[in-house]
Amino acid sequence: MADCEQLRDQYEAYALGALEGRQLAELERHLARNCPVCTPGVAEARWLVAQLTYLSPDAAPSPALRYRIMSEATPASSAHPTPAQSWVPAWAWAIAAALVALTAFTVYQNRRADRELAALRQQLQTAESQGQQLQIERAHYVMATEIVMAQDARPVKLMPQKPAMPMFHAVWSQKMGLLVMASNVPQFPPTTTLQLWAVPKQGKPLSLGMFRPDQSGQAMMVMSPATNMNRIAALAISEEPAGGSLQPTSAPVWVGPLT
Amino acid sequence: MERLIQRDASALEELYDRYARPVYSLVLRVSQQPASAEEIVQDVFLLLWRNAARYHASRGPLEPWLFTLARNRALDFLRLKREKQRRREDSYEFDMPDAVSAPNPVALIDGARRAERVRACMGELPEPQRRAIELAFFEGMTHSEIAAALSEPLGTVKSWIRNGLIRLRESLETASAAGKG
Repeated sequence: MADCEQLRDQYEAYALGALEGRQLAELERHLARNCPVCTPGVAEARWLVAQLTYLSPDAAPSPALRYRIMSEATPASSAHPTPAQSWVPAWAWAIAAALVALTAFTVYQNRRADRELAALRQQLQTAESQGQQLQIERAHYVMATEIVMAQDARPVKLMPQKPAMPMFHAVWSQKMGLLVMASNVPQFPPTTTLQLWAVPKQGKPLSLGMFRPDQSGQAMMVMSPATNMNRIAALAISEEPAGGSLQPTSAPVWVGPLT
Repeated sequence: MERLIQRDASALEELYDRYARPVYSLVLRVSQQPASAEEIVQDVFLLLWRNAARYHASRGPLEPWLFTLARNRALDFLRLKREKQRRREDSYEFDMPDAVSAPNPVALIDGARRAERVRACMGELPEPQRRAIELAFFEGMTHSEIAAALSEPLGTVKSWIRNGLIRLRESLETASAAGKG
């Protein structure tokens, strides 16, 4: 078995999930026996790796998310645990066991029922997932409406800097947030993403988030009023590598001054 | 966390207001899909709410632990998507991230300064080295997967990642020492 000194160099890669093969197996053996050197060493490496979170381009979730989380959490806090319902008379189990053992037909029926139940559960999960997706989209549209209807709403046009590109329309409200949308946006390669930037009067551009047009060329992005737009001179959209960039890496494709 | 364990909903609100933005940014960076990212963030905070009693101080400071939980969930999503197995997991069963502990002096720097330092330090790395670290962190790739993706020798990738993270640790330690001085 490798000693701890040899494994020390692997702590960061292990915390990242990049370690593999023999080195991974060796380190996991040390951790499984609570090695007094490797265990705290890896815990510190996990802390270091967690700091890489700050490399993510800054983005804000929609305000609707907070509401959804709190409304789902709050009933749970007051709900009483459901009493266990596992009590079944022993004679019922005995009869059921006897029937299962004696009747192949029953087994067949049970299996078929299980399959049908599993299929129904799958359908239910799919429907639930689609419902959540619709809920999120609805929240975005509600937010977009609130931004457009806000008393301090101000329209901004983001003009294309390349030929054959449509114009983006933006509406921003200091109270309600920012809406950016366009139609007939061409598809970009899957290795890239569109990234929206707030260009301040002084200093570096600030990422407002990433988005992609859907298959019909519709693009929409809404965000909460996290940024003080009074300090912003213009909005810009650039094409960036998938995952976004900390700062723009290419000339903006759309630019709109905030007048 | 005590208030969370006591089912105090205002504690969850405070936690959300403090960490939702970095957690969402991370999850969005990994998942690349705003709608899915919101779903994952919702999962993360509700997991924390429903399993608060399973978190205890020995697991280390909450912030990096929460980031680790969010990253794990987002990478799970990414792997499922890649495998095209979009079967929905039971949201209430999950592996608690293992213990996380900050090297003492570094823990003294506040979050904003740490974020600034992390970005500056990684920004100074040569592009391929930074890319290797990003592929591991945001895309959950192993050493050999990164080597294949970047067409670089395996040993080079290992050194890049290790040296990059050592440099980050030293940068954070220097910032901490400067803050105290």
